[in-house]
Amino acid sequence: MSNAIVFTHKDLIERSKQGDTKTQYKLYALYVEAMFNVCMRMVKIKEDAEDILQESFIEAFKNLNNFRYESTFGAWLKRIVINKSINHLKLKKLPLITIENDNYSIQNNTEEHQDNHLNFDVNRIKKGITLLPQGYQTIINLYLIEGYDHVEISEVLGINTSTSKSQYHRAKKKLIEIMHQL
Amino acid sequence: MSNKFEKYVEKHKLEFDVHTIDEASKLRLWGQIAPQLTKPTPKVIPLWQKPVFKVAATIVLLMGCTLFFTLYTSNINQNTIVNNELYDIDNHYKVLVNNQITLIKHNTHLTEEDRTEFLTLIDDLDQEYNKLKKELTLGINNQKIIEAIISNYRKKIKLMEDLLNRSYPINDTIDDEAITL
Repeated sequence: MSNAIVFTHKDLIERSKQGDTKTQYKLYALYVEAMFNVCMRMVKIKEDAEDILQESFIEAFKNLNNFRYESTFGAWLKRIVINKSINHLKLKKLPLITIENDNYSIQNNTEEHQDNHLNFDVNRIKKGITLLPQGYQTIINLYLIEGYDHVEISEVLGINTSTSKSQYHRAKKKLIEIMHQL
Repeated sequence: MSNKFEKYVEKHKLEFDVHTIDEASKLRLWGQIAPQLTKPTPKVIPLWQKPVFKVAATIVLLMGCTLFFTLYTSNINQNTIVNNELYDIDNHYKVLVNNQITLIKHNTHLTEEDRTEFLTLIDDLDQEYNKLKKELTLGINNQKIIEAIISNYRKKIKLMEDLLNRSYPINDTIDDEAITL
């Protein structure tokens, strides 16, 4: 990642570290909507998303001195939001992974085959995701939309990377099936 | 390995951000966040409310009082000694000075000019004496001041003796006759 990207909003971040409330608000205003979308994708209920958002920003600002530009501020903040969202799902006892009896041991060439015969459309994908079981939705969101790799997902969900991979492939297979039916 | 599906989603990622948050909600949320970001003012426990400090303060106060009274008493004692010493000196030298003054008063050989000069010198010495007496009350290096007072008296007596010596007529004839005899 180039330095220019990593140091995005450096001035605002540094002033926020000093406790400048106006700058903290500016930083909040810049990221609140993107983080709200992350929350909504994860927990789906607006009130819950707002609660998580609030807790995440408080934690982020309180721990801002620990942010050392090893990633972008957005990625750092998103990690906090996602962790909070996962904790929220755990508290609600919602499954983080989906266990199905069907055998979804999909070969890559089969996936490619399926992909090539599907006309992609953002709205159909979004609709398809909502029809997935909760565990599949989580892994699809994390991998496909939030851009996490399987190592990061395994850390966030507390599973191993191979489980993450298999979960993703199953989820994707299910999603494509659903999309075919839409 | 990303395939066509992942690539498509990656390309249209922003279109998945469908939720918006209005300004009112933004401000409302910030209103709940901001108060938690202000650093709480550290609770200050006044030092004097600590029992340890109270004990220490009492000890210091007692020590201070003891030291003050010790020094004060010692100073009083020292002043008494100095005053007694000064009283003795004054008594001793005043007698001598008064004797000399009587002699000067009764001396008919003194010119007016000699008297005026003598009085001026005596005035200066008196001023010096008063100044030294004042310094004695300060209690700084009393021994030296006492010595200076004694020296002052001696100067006065010496002046008077010199004046009287100068005023008496010298009778050379008598002396010569005595030698002849």
